[in-house]
Amino acid sequence: MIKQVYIHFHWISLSKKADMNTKLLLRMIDPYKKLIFSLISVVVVLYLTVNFLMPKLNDIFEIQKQNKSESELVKTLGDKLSILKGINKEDTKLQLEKISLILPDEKNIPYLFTTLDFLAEKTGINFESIDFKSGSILKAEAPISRKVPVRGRAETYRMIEITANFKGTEEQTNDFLTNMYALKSRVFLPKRVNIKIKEDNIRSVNVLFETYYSPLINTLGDVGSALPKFSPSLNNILSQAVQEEIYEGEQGVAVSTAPKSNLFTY
Amino acid sequence: MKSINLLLYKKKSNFVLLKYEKPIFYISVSLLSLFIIVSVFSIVAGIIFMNEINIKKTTERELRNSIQSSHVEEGLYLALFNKTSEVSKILSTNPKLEEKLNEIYKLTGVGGIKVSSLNVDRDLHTHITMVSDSAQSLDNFISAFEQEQNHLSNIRVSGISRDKTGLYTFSLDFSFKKS
Repeated sequence: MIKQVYIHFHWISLSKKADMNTKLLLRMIDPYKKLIFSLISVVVVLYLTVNFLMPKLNDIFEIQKQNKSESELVKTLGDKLSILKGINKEDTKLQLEKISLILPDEKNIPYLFTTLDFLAEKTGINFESIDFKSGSILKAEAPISRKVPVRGRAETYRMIEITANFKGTEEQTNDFLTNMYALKSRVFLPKRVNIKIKEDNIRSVNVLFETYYSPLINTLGDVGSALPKFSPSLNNILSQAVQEEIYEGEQGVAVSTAPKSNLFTY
Repeated sequence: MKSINLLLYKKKSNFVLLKYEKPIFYISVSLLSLFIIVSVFSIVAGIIFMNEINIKKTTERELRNSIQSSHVEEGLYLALFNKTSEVSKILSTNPKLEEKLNEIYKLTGVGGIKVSSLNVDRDLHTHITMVSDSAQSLDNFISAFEQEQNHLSNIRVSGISRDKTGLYTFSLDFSFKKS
């Protein structure tokens, strides 16, 4: 009993002591309360900034970036659609046909020969021989040019090397060489010209030249990719090709591919 | 107890941060306000941007559908562009040899000299063989040719010979400077 009374009083004295300590502590921190509030708020703000606000702001910047790229994509698509809406299908087909006479889709050997004959007839020169560089008329062996820089639609043109020997006067020779570039027929570009001048002022010419063909594109690529725009120089070439009367060659006669009994007849 | 209080007050006066109590308080309040403003702003901006993106995505889908329905026009346009740009590249990467031939004719059109053959290639290297019946004409021609250093380079006489009839044959190598 005495022991219990002792514990009870001891407990009261302890509580009083604790109460006193709290009061003492409160009195101790009372002058610092503004300072403590400030420091705690700074720490809390810093913690929330690092852990919540910064990631949130990063997300906002990402969303803004996405928004910007989406704006650009919408603009690209809008521009593309306005170009496509402005295309006259028939006119474009005609332009494509014309430019394809200058740069055919395939090697088209008959057209190549008839064009050379046309140029010879037009300028008055006489061909003595026309030789293709070995292998160059085979599609797989035709040398490929550098790639055309159109994103996602890299197409290449191929070239065929031809050596020709012809005779003509100075004027005829110059006319022939000038007509090769003139965009009035399939394009031929001389690589090397050897001219021998004979007694009667007739020139014997050996010319190594290239002619080209370019397969049509077979894929359109991504819908979202921008359409390339015609530069003034490209527009010049196109308008020249459309306005000029380009040599179209003769219609080939269909030859039967049926087997025949005698190999040495046509 | 009094002595403890006295000690605390004494300490308070010595505590260095207490001198800056007010500025620290204002800074912390400002930081807190700034934090609240930025938080509210980020939430509002996020909502606005997301809304804009959704509108743009809808527009994008509509545009894509319209473009897909114009695939024939796109094919024609791209084919025309590729062909034209290829023609342009072919023409622009090759020098016009016939222009160079005309220049050679002008350069060699000198009295007493006759060109018997000439070769010119795409790199504009040129080789001419000429004949003359007088050594003086030949000398005059070479002197005149040396004046053309501005647009010709590597001028070199690669051979001079005289046959039994007294006809001089000489050959000249040079290159046109690329403009």
